[in-house]
Amino acid sequence: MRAAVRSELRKLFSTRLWWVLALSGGAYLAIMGVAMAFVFSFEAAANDSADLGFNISATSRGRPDPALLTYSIAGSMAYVFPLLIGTLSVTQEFRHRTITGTFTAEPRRHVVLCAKMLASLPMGLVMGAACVAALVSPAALVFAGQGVPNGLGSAETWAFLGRALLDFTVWAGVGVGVGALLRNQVAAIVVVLAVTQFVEPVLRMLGAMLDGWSWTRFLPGAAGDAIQGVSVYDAMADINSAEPMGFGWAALVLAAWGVGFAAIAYATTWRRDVS
Amino acid sequence: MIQVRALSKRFGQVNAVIDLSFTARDGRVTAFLGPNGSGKTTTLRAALGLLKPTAGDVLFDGRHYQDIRRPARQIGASLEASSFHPGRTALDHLLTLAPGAAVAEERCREVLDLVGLAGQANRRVGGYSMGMRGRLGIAAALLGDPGTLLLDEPTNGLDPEGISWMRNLIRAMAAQGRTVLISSHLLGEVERTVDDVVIIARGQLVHASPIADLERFGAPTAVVAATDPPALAALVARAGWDAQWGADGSALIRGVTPVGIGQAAFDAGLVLTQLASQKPGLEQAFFRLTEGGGLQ
Repeated sequence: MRAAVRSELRKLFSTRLWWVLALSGGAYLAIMGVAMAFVFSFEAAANDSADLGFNISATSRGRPDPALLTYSIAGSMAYVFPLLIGTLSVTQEFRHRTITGTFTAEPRRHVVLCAKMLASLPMGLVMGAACVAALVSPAALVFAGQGVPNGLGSAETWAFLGRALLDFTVWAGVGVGVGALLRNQVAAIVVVLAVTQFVEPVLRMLGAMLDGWSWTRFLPGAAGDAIQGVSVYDAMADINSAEPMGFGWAALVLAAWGVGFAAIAYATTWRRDVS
Repeated sequence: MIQVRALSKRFGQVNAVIDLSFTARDGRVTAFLGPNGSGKTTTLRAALGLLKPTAGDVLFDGRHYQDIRRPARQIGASLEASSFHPGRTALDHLLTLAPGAAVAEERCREVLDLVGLAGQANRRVGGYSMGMRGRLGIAAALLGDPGTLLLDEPTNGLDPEGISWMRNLIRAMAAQGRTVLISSHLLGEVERTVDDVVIIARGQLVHASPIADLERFGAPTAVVAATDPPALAALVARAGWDAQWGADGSALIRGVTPVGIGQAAFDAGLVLTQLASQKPGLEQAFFRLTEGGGLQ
């Protein structure tokens, strides 16, 4: 298993894909982070005199810190990047037919699947570190410039950022499960984008509004946000009914999605003939 | 030693390989021949555990491929479709295989040097020619210094110099006592490289022997000339022989023994100036054995 994991790590880091995705995620987060930092700074300045109608104080957790809320977009908006690296690490093998060499080097297919999942975790962590750094550094400067506390002096912020990294890490593993299940690269990308950008956000919005829809908090995106513990979705959708999951439980729920996808793949297509 | 034992593989309604058995022995180069679509690649893929056989199995020194730990140290395989990620360099490609073969970067550079790609080690494979990809596939197969080599169409895409290089490499591997099985759809390309031939057509074994014994399967061929060429032509036409005419009026006749030709000429009252038996070509023997045995 160790050899297979080392092989998979080498595969992940030896093409341009990972840093292209990390760069895209970082750039996206940096722009969004700076924009949000300005919005929150202006709101903080105006807060005493007027209510802007964007009421972020109505959550059960009380008023989230503007800095934390800004930093939270790391997990809630950019999780698609570690998810994609995990997914593509599998679908590329089928696309370029390198899966032949992979299964020849390690004929025990369950070992290959486990190795891919394990190897994706450090990759998720590295991408998370890059994305979080790209988000936090400019946003913190904006807060500092506007005289709003940027939270970098508080342990709570750093614990939060640590949980964001955990979120990225687990998402990469979920991606491997998704890739193993779908195998076709184009189909996988379409499904990942459709689900993360449309299907799940809609379900979570409905979950926040409808009675009996509290199960939506077990959806992967919701679980991922619960790992961080703070999320823009929660703040805007005004969820106050369900008690939030602890980050440990949330990580387990998200990991269960990844393991579940991989298990279904293994039970169905993973052991098929490769020709 | 590689033993293919009563191997069958069916894809839906198509029987790709039917009850195929043969052995590739140590220290010898075995050619696995057959027209395109005759089941060669299916057999190799089944041997490597990539396909599940419908029946039968393949053993490497008595063991199934799936039961061998670190298979790259015992069996080096390069499949025709052996594909590479275009964005990965040759060295990185080998480094992804290095853990499985339990070798270090030094060995990766060594095999790249061996196949003549040392100068291209850090180039992305996407820019490689067919021949260079073939060489990289061989480098990957040699990485773990295996005792058995399985090479699918190793001369594909190689220039004449490359084919000669490949021939020497394969001979050297067998001389070191390794088992080498190479597949090809062209006997001519491997004729001078191999010790044994295994020929399949339509997924079935049609011939297995040392290459020297293959010649017997060629059609008899004779060169014949007469004092009266038009009369000879009339005889050939009457008899319905398969003849090829030379500029000097002689005919190369296939499918008839010299005795048969001599008798017919005598009966027709022809004076022959030449009647010689010709060694049938290996390629011809191959075509005879596999006639119509390609894609169904």
